[in-house]
Amino acid sequence: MSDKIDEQLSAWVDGELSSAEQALLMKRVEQDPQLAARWQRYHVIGDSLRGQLPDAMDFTLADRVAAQVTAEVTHHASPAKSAAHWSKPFIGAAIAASVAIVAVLAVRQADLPDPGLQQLAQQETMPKTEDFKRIDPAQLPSAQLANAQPQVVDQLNQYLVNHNEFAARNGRLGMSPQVRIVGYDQPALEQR
Amino acid sequence: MRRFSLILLFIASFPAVANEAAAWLKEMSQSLMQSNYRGVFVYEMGGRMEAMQITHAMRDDGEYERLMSLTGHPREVIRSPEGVTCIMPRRKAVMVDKNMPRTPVPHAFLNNLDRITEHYDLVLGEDDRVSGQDSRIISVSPRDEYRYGYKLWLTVEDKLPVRLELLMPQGEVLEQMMFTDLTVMDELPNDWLEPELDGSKLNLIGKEKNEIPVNEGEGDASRWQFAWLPQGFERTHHTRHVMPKKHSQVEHLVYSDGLATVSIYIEQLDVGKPRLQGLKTMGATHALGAEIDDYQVTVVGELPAATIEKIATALRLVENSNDD
Repeated sequence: MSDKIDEQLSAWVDGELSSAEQALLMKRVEQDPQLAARWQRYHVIGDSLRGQLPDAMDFTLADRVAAQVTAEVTHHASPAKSAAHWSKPFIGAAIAASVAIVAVLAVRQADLPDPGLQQLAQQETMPKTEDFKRIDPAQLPSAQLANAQPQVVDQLNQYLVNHNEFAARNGRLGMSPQVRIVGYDQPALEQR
Repeated sequence: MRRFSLILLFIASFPAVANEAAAWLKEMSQSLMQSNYRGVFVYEMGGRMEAMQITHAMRDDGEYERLMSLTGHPREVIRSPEGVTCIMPRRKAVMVDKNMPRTPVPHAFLNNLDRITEHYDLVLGEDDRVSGQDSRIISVSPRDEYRYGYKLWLTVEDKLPVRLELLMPQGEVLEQMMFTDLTVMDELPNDWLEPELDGSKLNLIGKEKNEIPVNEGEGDASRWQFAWLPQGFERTHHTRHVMPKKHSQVEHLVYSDGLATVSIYIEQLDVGKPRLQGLKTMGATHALGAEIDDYQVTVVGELPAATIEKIATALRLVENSNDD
């Protein structure tokens, strides 16, 4: 099987394939059982790495692959949001259906017929989560500042004053870059 | 979308209008920096209004400015080539920041109009009258939803911005300021730039200049990377400094599209100390605090909240940058 197909498969699993490419690939997967099995394995590996496999497993797949592929296309139809990369752990419910089937393979991961493929799939899905750290989005309260303690406001003001001078150096349209520092140093506004 | 296409169509058919608008902005930019002026303006943000007086002078060694609140608690900010001093009696604090940008002072505030026109559409609009002076409206509209737009009223005589509206990407006014009085003069007395508030009995925060330039070739420079930034944002500064009141070093990364700027401050996490967690909004300025590994990261900028969040969550601490 060509490297290109491998690449496309893993791009698909990562949600990085355009819908036009997905449609083309899906056609090939439907017609090629070997390719279908490979596509499944990519998913299993990806999902198990993300710790998303369900505890219970239910199954038989080969003949249901085609139907599954169709289902997958629908949840991958919207191009992956590059910004919310972490939220990719595939948007919960959408994936559940496919995972139930795919899960069978997880228990048999050890005897995947093609270790080279497994490694490839890992390379495709792993590096983005392995060699860097980022902000945990769950840590970000959606609302406004939760902690308005004076120390936090003081500290933030220092950053703001400093930032304003750098911002002014880069370009600005208004008069003083420090207007907000004066404008927002009001008790009523700190509680907002 | 429709609005954008209309604007694009407008620009495409009348390139001269955009060029003219750019010429006005260029003049404004020089005038803002080079002129000596004093004026009073009203600033409206978050449903509140504040009046302030501004005094600005260009001296041989650089720009001097004094900003004084005329409403609410007295507050004063003095800017000089050396640094910024904020006198805030209500906080019992005088805050001094001498960690100024190390880049040479530009001749104008808008360094590169070409870069700006790549991401904003400029349109020269109608005549109007503000603070008793004839003025002209210029609109600066972003081409995507990641930055703010602006509407400026520039005086015909001095090209100074006597009124300014800061617009959400969708077009609503988020903040605005308008001068009620503005006088431009050849010279102004030095004492107009001296602080009026007595800060001698207040706590002094920060004093010494403590900036350590980051040598890009070594160490941590490439440890912090962005998986995403709004189009056109480029790094303009990268320094390490000791912020007033802090003992540890703070790494400071600055990115800009030529008009809007975002700062990222990175410091060692001190779990015992209260710190910014989540988003804080001050009109058009948003600040977001969060943790990555053993670091506290603060992202600050005049960009929509969604953009600040997106930038913050695109920041990566690369564990092993050897293979870069």
